[in-house]
Amino acid sequence: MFLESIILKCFYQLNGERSVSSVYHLLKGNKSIQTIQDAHSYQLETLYGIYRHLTRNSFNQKVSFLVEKEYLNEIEGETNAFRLTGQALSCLAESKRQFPFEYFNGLRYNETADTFQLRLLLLIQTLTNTKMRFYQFIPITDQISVEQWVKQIYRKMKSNEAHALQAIYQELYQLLQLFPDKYASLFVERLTGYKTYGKSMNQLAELTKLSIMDVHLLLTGIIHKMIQVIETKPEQFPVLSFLIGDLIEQIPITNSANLTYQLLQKQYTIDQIAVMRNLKINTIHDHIVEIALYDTAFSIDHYINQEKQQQIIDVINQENTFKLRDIKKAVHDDISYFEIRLVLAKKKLLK
Amino acid sequence: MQQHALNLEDALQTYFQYDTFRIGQKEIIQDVLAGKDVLGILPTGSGKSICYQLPARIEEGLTIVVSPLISLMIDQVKQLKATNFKEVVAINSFMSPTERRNVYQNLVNYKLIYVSPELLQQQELLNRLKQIHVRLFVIDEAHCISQWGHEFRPDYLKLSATIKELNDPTVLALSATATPEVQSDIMNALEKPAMIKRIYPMDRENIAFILEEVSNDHEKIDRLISIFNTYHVPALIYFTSRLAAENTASILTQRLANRDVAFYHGGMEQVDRVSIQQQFMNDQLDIICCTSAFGMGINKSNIRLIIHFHIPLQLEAYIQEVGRAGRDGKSSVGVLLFSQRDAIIPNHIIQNELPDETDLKNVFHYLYTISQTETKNPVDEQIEEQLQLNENHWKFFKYQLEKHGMINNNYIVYQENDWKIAYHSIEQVIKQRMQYKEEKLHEVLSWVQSKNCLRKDLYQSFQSSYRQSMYQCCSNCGFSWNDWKPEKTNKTIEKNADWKERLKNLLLVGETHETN
Ligand SMILES: Nc1ncnc2c1ncn2[C@@H]1O[C@H](COP(=O)(O)OP(=O)(O)OP(=O)(O)O)[C@@H](O)[C@H]1O
Ligand SMILES: [Mg+2]
Ligand SMILES: [Zn+2]
Repeated sequence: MFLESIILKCFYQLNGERSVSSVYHLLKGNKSIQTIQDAHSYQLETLYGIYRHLTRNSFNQKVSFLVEKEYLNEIEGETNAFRLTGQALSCLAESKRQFPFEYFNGLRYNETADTFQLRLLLLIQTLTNTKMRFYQFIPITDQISVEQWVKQIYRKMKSNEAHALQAIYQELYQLLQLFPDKYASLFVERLTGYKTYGKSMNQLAELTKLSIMDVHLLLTGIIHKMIQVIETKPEQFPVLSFLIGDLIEQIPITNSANLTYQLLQKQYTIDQIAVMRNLKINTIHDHIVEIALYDTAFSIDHYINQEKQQQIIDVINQENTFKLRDIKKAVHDDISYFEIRLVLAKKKLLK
Repeated sequence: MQQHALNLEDALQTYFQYDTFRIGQKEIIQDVLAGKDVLGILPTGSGKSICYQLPARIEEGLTIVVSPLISLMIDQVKQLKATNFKEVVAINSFMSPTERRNVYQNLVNYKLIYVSPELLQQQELLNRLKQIHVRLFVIDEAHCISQWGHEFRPDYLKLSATIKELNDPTVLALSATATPEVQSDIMNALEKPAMIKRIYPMDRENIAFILEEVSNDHEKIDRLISIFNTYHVPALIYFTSRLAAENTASILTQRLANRDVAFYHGGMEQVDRVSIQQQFMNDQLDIICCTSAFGMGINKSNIRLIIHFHIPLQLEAYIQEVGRAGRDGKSSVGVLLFSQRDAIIPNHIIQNELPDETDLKNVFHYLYTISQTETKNPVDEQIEEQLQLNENHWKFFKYQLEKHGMINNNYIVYQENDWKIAYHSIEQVIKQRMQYKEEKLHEVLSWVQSKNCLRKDLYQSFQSSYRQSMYQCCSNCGFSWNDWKPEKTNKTIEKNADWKERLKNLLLVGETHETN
């Protein structure tokens, strides 16, 4: 029921203003500006991208199930937008006691989490097997980037596997003690060592009597929480923070947007940049919204004057909506979608 | 000659730690090293892989292996790496584009690459390959080339062109299940009529074949339970549907004490697939409920029991799947459970494997509309979505349309008359293939009803004779379960330790885990 509750939580935050698809994109961690902006505007940052393997099909099934159970009501006059029923609200409150929603930090960790986990799994597998002088093991992942990374650090640890394993043990032990036993053991069951392969998602599901999807979410949450603890006290977790090391600092802004940013800083206009980069004006607009979203220092005044900004903010407050279409209808005709998106992007900082 | 022979044995010893060649291996390797094209037919589990792995290691230049299943490629690469052969890679669709590009740019550093026929058609890879010296071109599971093969995939038919583009390297085609008809089809499709044929008997002397008729699925399950209550051996149960595999795995888990059961199919994420496959390899799991995705080439030496819960669609598929058993040569058993109404399910599956006439009409209509408005073809996914075709159906059409010149380099070429001819021809192909599949299914159904020796009937269409069985023969020759006494799995029972204990054990912390 974890996934169902998370979907309910999303619809709750979205307040009927966004469609079913936007929930799906949010959980999948779609990189479009629209989705990232949704995450910010509706305080869903923590749930962004927490289920990257979610399929459209299983998502739709869950939504249908929630509608059938009368947890979700389709909003009249809107296709594909839903509101929570009273029943759903109490169910959500209950499941917040049952499941660790607070573990997630999706917007920040969704990309890091997978890589961190794979690195850790493969490193443990490698160290335990080589410690036992067994070199013919089948690696648990063959993602080349992970394999190469582990190979590199293994070179430094080799010949002293026992020491490295001891260190990993102590760090994991410390970390896992912060979790309830059932979650700690879920995490440990997934590990692969010398002549023992970790459990598959389905096996974990049977063990815990949860659905595969819930197990997936729990593990993701556990990893997010771990990374967060490691990040705040790196000195207590030297090995594990090394595993995260290069993954996090990257600003979550696309390369392409970054290039546009550099050109803007050199005082080129939007039109000029579009011509230079052979891109559509719209694309450059997307970049600017993305920059506004992430860079606190970036001023939008250059692209939309104060007066217009105020007008948009007034509409947002009066109508109590973040919906582009509704805002556009209520403001002056000469305000463009681009300008509205810019203000919305910035607004998360104004609050 | 003597000299060369000695060297080969040395190489086998050095690189693979085997003392002697198995039947057929040395002959094939010698041919290949002499630059001759070979069609090699050897039984399942007989060691076909060595026939190209050894040449790849000792010869200059690149060996390309075209392989139909990702799981199979990954498995082989891992096993090779474990033997310290590092210059191998499986180029597959799990790789990210950057990873793939990385491999492409470093092709010269590899000695052996595994690739799917579909990826091999990508221009980028092909161009790269053209720039280096390709020494040997291998088609593993070569029955897939034949339009009469049981896994027909159109991209296999483009291999002859690829081979020419690569400057005609030596070609080696390998299979365990090819009728004489399929053999000549392979040689035709590769345009290598002069291939040397190395055909060895493909019957498996150490597997007994058992047919058991039951009246419904409930009874099948009961039968499984009773078999596994008696026997504790590594086993596979084959299903034609993913859902049935999953459900049965969970039923068995509930109803069997002391057995670890899991399922495996093409829809699982990769870490899970490796986990399940390796747990099974390691005897951590006893039984896997699987689809044909866990099939061709999977190599665990002590699988004793292969049970078919559903009727396979072709005898070839059955031979492949049952061929997972007893690769160490010890007595093993294949059981096929069937009920009279089972014939309906496979019929249904066959019908879904091919597009029907409505699909054909839709495709032509759609392409016509597009040819009048746009110049370039939409991408595959768009077409599949638009026409509600599954991926394989569209692949089938695309191949046919290209063959008839209706699509050329992703451009649609409209010529009214040609299109009419093409339409009828494709209609004909669908009919023929449907008929062929029905005949194949019919073969299975009549095998299932047979009162003769099952071993004889199973192999008769593949070869003129078959060997006596080493142990018991089949249920029609009087198989007795009581006389089958396989060695019991020696499984270390995991203690139900708490996570702290487990973590400690797993990370080998504490003095009990020192190596000596
Ligand atoms: N000369 C040999 N001596 C001992 N063992 C061998 C020899 N050649 C191969 N083997 C072993 O036999 C097993 C089966 O080999 P392989 O996987 O190549 O079979 P295969 O013919 O490809 O079967 P399939 O048709 O199922 O793919 C492997 O474990 C391999 O290492
Ligand atoms: Mg093989
Ligand atoms: Zn017999």
